[in-house]
Amino acid sequence: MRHNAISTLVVRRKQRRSGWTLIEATVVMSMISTLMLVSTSLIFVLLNLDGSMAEGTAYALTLHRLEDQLREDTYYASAAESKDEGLLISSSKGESILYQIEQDKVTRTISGGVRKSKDAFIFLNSKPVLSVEPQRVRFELIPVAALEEYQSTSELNTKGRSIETVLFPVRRAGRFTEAAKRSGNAVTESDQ
Amino acid sequence: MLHLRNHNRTGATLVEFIAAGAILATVMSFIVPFVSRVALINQNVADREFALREVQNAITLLQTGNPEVTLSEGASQRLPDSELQVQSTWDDAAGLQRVEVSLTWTGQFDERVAPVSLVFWEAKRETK
Repeated sequence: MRHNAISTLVVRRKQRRSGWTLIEATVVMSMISTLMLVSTSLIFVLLNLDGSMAEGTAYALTLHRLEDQLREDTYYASAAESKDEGLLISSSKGESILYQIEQDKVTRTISGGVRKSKDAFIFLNSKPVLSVEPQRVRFELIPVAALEEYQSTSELNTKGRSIETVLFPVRRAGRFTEAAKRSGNAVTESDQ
Repeated sequence: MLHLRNHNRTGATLVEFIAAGAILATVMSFIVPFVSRVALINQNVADREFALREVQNAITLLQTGNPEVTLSEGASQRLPDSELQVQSTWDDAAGLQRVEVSLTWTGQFDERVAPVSLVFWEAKRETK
């Protein structure tokens, strides 16, 4: 009785396929490897894109912040002069605003008046340059290193960072007042 | 009595694997160009922001007495075939001069992009 049951099982197992053929296994493995390859490269591209976008956004926001501060400071300035690779602005409110450059960092310090403050702006892999020109201040951000890193995302056609230049007119707030003083006319706030 | 092996399916067939792979490949083919598109839009936004800063610099040059305005060194590298235009019109009634500064360049697909423009008004007594 027991011998008959075992022989029946052996016959049934021989009749039914219990696994895949070599071709089926090869097809499945090649499909899986192709999908793994594509998804891995996609993940790397996404990580690269995320990193470059985050860095670019931080860079742009810092530049905007500094630009706003510097534009306001130069607008209400009574004088501006270069000082130790930086900039010293004397405001019409009697304050001294000093912009100092240390490698990739710009520090803004207000002193001499009622308010005192200190603020820092960091631009990674860039060299900030401040220079005084007649009637205006020039601010430049020159990329100094890691240009190859930016170009490594060339598969997405992103460009490397270029020189950013911003010009700020000095003493714009007092232009009508000075013109009025010269001509002897009074100037109201609404004129300005 | 011995229990015979169940005839129910216990794994995926080759056809199911191929169908799943085809679906995944189709999804991938949509995602890859989408990622490239996002990177391209990001680059275009950055270029327009850069161009806007150049236009603002040109306005600063005009306001500080420079009759001729030029683009910076970085602009010619970043914005190919860039062209800066300045148009002035006088409004005698208001005693103001309307100055429009616009910048256009060639995009990544060799097309002329929509110009970035800024307008400022200058008083007659100021220009004198």
